[in-house]
Amino acid sequence: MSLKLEGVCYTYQPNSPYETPALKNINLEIHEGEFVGLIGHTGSGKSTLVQHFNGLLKPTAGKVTVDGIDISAKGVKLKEIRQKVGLVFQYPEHQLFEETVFEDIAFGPKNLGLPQHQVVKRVKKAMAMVDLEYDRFKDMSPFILSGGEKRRAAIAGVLAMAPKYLILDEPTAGLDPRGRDEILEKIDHLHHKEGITVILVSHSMDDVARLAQRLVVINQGEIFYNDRSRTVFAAHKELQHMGLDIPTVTKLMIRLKEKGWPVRSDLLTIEEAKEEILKIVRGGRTGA
Amino acid sequence: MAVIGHNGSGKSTLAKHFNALLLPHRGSVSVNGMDTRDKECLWEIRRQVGMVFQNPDNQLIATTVEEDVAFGPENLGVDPVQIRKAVDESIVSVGLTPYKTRAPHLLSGGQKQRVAIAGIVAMRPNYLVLDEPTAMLDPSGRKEVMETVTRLNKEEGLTVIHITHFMEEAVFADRVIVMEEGQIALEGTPREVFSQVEKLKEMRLDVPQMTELRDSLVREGIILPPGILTVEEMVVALCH
Repeated sequence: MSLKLEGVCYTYQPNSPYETPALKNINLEIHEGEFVGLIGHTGSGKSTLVQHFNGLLKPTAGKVTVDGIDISAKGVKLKEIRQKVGLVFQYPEHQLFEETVFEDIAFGPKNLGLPQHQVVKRVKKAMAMVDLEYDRFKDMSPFILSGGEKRRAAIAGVLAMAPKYLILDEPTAGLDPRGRDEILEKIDHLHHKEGITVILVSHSMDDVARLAQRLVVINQGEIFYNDRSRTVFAAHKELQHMGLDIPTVTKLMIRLKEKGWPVRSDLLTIEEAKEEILKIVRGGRTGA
Repeated sequence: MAVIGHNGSGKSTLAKHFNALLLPHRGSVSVNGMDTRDKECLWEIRRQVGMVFQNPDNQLIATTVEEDVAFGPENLGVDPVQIRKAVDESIVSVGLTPYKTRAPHLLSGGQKQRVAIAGIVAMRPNYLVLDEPTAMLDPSGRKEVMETVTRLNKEEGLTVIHITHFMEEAVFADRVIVMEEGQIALEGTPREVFSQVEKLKEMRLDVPQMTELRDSLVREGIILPPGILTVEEMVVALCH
């Protein structure tokens, strides 16, 4: 079971003077249970790419399959595909519209035609997943919530569809540190505890380094890297050339290596860096 | 100066007091000796204290970059020759000369914020207040804006008050204040403030990664100087 893109090309305004190729021959497979980070510069084609996963955009050439179903094939119900593949846009709270938090989250399941008790169950579960207390928030207007709460309510609206695959396009943009932490913690939890497959589009290398198992780097509409995070960040010169950053810890290890320390430069987290530095310092090698 | 703190901690409310967008219920705010409650001084205060907000799309109004930048000085009734000069100079100072006649809405986020900054600079302010100017930008946009702001501060002597959620931006300020529940919770140089790892974590604010690494190495018995903020400082300390 997987999301699969084969030879996908997408061109904005084809056959016009404004023709812009946004995706060029993309081959990518996301397996069930994975946590994949998608990174790239603004305008690299990330958002165009994620909109292919649930059929919001149809490829100009190539094929998109969701769990083996070609989503462009005749007779395929996109509604079912979109229920399976949940997409959380950037600033999803701009899409809140109902009078109460409950109604907003219930909108999707209701449209699926579920009976009321099922809808309530779905809403309760989705709210629990994003840590919004049901009794406290259900009757509130979504517009009086804090920025972080609004965003979690919007994510709950997607989770209420019980998606198998969850794609989040920069879910932490514009939030304060506490809001960022809370959202990332929830996403990590959705992956580990609920078994949801996650694709996280992010500008924060420190965040994807910590969370994702695999990284896909997209530049000018093409996939440049598709590998374990460690391997990808080792190509720091190329990444920086694309205008992308690398995790702070990786930067430190590269600098230490340049200074002659015999350290690994493919480390990603503070914990890993600590262990590596301790090994060297305690081993009596303190560098220059 | 950098101001950090959570949403709802009072950062923006504080910022709006600097140019009389809000007036204090108690106490007083003065800008170069002018009381913000004095209506006579309002326009002069707003000219001296310019503000740039989070969302670049909400601040641009004209159809070309130069017209947008000219909006402020025009409203102040400045002589047209002077306006031309002020507009040209401020567009140069934010590095947007090649984009002078472009439509602002077609620029990137970072460029839009620099147009907004140029619009303020054209009014020849003494203070520039930036309320999370990089929150909605990508890393390269953030870098552009930070470089522009740093240059205005260092080379043109503009006083900058920068409200941000990104600790790595606050690291380069001369002074940092941390707001919490409407009060100043911490104040000092970045080194003094960020070395209080426990306190910052208690407030659930980010600690620069190198500061955190320094603390965990010290707990393991490694001797390192306090107040390490950047990768370079860590490299120097370790190689010492």
